[in-house]
Amino acid sequence: MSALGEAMTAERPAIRRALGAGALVAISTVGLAATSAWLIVRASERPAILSLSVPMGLVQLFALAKAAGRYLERTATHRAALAVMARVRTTVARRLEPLVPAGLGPRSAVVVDLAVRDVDRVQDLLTAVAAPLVAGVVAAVAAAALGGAIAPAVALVLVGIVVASLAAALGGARANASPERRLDESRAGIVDLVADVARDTQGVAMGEGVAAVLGRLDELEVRADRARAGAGRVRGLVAGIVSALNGLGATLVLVVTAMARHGHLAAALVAVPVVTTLAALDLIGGVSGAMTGWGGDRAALARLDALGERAVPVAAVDAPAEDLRGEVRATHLRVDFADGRALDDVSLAVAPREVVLLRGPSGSGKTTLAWALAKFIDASGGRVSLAGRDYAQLSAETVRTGVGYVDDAPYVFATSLAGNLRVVAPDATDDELLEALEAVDLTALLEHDGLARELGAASLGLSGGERTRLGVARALLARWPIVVLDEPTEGLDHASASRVLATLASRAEGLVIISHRDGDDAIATRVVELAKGRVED
Amino acid sequence: MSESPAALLARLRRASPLVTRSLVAQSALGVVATLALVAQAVAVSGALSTLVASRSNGVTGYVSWLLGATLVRALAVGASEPVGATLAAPVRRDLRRRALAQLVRRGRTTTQDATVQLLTRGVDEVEAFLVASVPSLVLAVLAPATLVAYLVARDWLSGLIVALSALLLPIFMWLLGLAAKDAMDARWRDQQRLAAYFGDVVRGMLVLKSVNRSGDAVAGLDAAGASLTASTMATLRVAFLSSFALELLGSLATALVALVLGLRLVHGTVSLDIALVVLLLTPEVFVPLRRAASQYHASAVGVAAATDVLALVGGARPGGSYPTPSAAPLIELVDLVVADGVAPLYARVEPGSLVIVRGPSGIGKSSLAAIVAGLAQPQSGSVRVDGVDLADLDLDAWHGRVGWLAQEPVLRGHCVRDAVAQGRRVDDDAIRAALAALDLHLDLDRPLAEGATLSAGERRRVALAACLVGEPVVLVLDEPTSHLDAASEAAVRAAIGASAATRLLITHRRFAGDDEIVLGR
Repeated sequence: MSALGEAMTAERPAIRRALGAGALVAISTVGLAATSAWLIVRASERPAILSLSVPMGLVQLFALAKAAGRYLERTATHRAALAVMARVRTTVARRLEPLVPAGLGPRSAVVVDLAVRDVDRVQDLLTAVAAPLVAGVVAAVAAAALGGAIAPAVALVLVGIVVASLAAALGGARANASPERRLDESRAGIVDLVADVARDTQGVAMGEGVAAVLGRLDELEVRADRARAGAGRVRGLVAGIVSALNGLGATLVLVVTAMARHGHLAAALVAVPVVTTLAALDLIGGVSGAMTGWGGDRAALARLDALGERAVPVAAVDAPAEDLRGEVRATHLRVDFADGRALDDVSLAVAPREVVLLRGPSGSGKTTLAWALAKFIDASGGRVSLAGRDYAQLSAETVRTGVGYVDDAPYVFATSLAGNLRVVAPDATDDELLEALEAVDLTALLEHDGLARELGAASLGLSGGERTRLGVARALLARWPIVVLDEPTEGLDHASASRVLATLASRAEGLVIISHRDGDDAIATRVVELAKGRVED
Repeated sequence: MSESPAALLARLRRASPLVTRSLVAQSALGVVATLALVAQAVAVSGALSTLVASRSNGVTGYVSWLLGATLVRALAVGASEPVGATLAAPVRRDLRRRALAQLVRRGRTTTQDATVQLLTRGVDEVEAFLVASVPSLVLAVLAPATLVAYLVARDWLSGLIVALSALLLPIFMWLLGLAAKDAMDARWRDQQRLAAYFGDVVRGMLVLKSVNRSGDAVAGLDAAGASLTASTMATLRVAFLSSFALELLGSLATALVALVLGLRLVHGTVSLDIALVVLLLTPEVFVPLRRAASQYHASAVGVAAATDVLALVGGARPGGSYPTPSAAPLIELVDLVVADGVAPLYARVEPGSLVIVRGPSGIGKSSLAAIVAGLAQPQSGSVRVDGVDLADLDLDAWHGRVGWLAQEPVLRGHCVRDAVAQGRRVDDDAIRAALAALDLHLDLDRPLAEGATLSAGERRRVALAACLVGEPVVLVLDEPTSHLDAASEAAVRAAIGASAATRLLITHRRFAGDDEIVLGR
């Protein structure tokens, strides 16, 4: 069952309340329109004022009910959406947990980012599309019932117009799929260009120069504009069609009313069908704009559900968690991904107090080997062992008490500097945190607010080098007996790189360092070169 | 941090004249749509009152009128989005161009991620602000004003009732707003926090897993979701009071107008025709207000993004407009302080000469290189190029004439050819020749992708080749011979020696130059 479906089933009472409130709004909207239309026409026949007191009371009642209903509807809809979203988020997190990092393909950060954005999109789907759509349909049904009682053809007209409006919106969603995809592509191109420039602004200024960079930007922007114009035209077309359908609906209802009036319809009822039709179609028209994004919403839902079908890279092992330390050894290790072999017949042992430098071109399998050593991916052949015990018999938790892993782009949590360190060492004292920061040359971060400094918000982002060092500080604090570090010197200058590595080597019992910086081999007790998934001699 | 949307709009309009045009066009379409709405209401009420008056009256005239008004309204409504998008696109392009140019000219940025975010999503948000938020705010004034004006003209008493409730609204909203704005901001923050917490857990999953805490974190999502939902709901209940006020005033105005019209109809002081028009149009007065209110957050996001983008774009463009020399220039350092605590430099680098820069590690030799290349500002003093202060030169052109080898050069592009040509038109033979002069014989299609497909020495020489092929008049080279074996070092020395440019060379090794600049405390 889909993540959204499950969550919505679980939150059925809250959803029912939200829909009930929406129906209240819809019915009182139609009621207010009907009673006031009746009141005015009846009044023009100049009856005794007393005879109008009931409809006058109803007009006030519906007006208050509409306002109150709107308030209830908004709070109930948001409560239901929040509750559903809390469940969807938990489900998605549960699905991602076993997959990170090896089960998400080569660009796992992108997949995770997309999942986060998809979840936000589902929330929009609930509050901006689903809830108003239900209210609009209820209003249309109420207006159709009321109008149909006065002149049966009114109901037909209303149903026809509502169906046509929704069809136009869905057609728009379909037509928009291609320009929106192209827009996403050109946006991604612009992000790549800007990131490329920001990484080395001086090199860009001295190399290709401002004019050439702007030329490349212009090319991408022209493509983005074309896609955007296409999407804008479709949305405009849908809005125009829906507006035209509303007018057409009013016209048809007017004609039907005129025919009924030529028959036997009482004068006082003449205005009711048209005025209620207009009120109901107004509610429907509001939704159709939001529905043009339906294609994207559905794709988002499908992506979230596809997460549940990905192959899990580490099989569950039913073994008690224990503290285990000792030598890590890969023997004839083979690792296959769905799209090919990443490691082939790799043997490597890391004893305590050893520093192994792992080198090789990108795609040579360095990161895969790191993942295998920390049990983020199972061996397809051969074996990995910790203190002589095969990983196949050890739970991932047990392995990670003995082997740590720090990736090449350590994540910065949206919390304080202290929080970002304590995430790996909950019991560390402030002094221990300060010591770790000192060891990795990161004391500059303490300048404002010290350890309480908030990190992670976009405007306070860390530079690449600072993130790298944060990762190393975490490695120091987590006190893993053996730790594998992916590119721990990326973005550091020579002097701090050497200092950081020396500190690491003096603290951890065993180190595996992935790096292709010259000079990092100074502290290594052994250098291992990987090429195309094999160890080079 | 944020200013009012109106003040910001004024700044955007100063920044780009297209903003005004886009706004006028969208407002005009909005007013046309409103007028068509009035025509629709007039046609419907005319037809209805005719039908009420007698069973035998025809309504054909009204029907064609109604269809005509419907067509006009549909066209105006349908055109609004494409027109807005078309007119806002150049504004977005212009802002992003200028921001990117500033980014390149200002040099190194400390917050790379934030800058990338600002130039990509931030600029898109400014565009959304212009296409959606601003027009809805403008129409929230124009459309109700048009409708009220019409209502007053047709039936002043009803017009007055609607006008009063519409006018009451801002006062009501203001009173509520004092409480509600904070509550709405809080709501926004809460929702962001809820999303951020989730984002943190899944994006940081690898870190959490590596210390066996991912299970707890995922389980914690449930509890956090529940507690944040509770606190969010508390703020939501207050925040939605403003939408309650909006709705209440709107529906009460409709009810009041209907009641007053009913009484006046009974007394015969107003015609049915007019009463119906008023009844149909009264709720429409509040629709644009509601739409604007729903844009509150989109607008706040847009304002914040636009403020940041304008701050980046608004900075002065470094450099002046003096033309750059076309032959190797004379470079003079006059009382130049490159960094705190470094003794001021006076030096004369003759045209075409080779000067070695020396000094202890960390003293600021690379800073001097960056200053001469026009990539950084000195602490004080000046660099003069053929007698003209560097700060007065056209720096874009100067960058094009200076070959600069960074201490840690970054190779850009997909292959060796890209890295040497750097977007300039250079034919393959020239690239091969430049590489060969440095004792480097590489396949030009060899990929650069991160990882050590090129050795450090090869990378350095590719970067040096990129400096040399541009026929530079000045060369500023930071450690060009590090990581090189003896044979390639000799080739590099020869190539540098053979250049006719004015050359500044930072090196720790022995190098025969015409003169030396020594940095010290």
